[in-house]
Amino acid sequence: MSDVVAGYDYAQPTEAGAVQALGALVGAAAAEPLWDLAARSLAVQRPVLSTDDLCRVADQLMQLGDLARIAGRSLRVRCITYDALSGSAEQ
Amino acid sequence: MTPQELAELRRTDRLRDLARLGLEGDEDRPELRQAVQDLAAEWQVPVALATVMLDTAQLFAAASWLPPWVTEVGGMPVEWTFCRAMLATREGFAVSDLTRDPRFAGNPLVRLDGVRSYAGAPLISHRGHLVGTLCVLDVQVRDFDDATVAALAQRADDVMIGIERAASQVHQGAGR
Repeated sequence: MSDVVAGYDYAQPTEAGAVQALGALVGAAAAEPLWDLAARSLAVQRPVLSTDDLCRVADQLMQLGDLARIAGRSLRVRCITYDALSGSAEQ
Repeated sequence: MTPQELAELRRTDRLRDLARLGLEGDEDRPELRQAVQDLAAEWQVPVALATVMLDTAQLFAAASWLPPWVTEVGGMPVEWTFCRAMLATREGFAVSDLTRDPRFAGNPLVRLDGVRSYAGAPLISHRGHLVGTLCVLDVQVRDFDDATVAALAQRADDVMIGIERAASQVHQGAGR
């Protein structure tokens, strides 16, 4: 499976990208522990690889304050976009 | 995206304001739904949207119509949005033919999904932040002009008043 949707030139969201985006809002030092907390609370193994698991962590992030909620909501949109365009949701 | 657009997207005071208004949620907003349906009907456009500009994505708070896959997503990556151009200018704008505008001709929504024209106006909160947009899209070239943008800006102001009022009622109800 390619990790870039052809035509749309849209790359599969990654944990590293998600943590970086979260860090842009809450600070790099806070982002990693927040992300880790969200993943651990779901017993999701790191690194988080699949868009399904990224979505689950995004939902968990949305419980952790205003800025984390916004980062989580954005990540969710980006993951579902990838799934919708790549067809991976049906695979 | 330009550095200015990126900086504006990530401004935490803007994002906290957006959260104050409850715009990052996915609750149904009948007042926004009615506003975009009215807009689409009056302007005879297939798509009218009330959107929320998050940090890396744009949410569709209400839409008159969207393709099924976009409805499923409920938004789109912010780099694809036409509306992001308003982050720097805070002014509405219109493009009658997106294929002839170098800013947007390469956008996948134009190249692959057939979006051809756009008009948008910013939703500016009472605290002065651009939290979202009101916009219309068509798959045909449209004769959008300054009067179009002015009319849309007036609509956006009205929509913003409704959003602020709804948030105020929620906060009062919560005893905040």
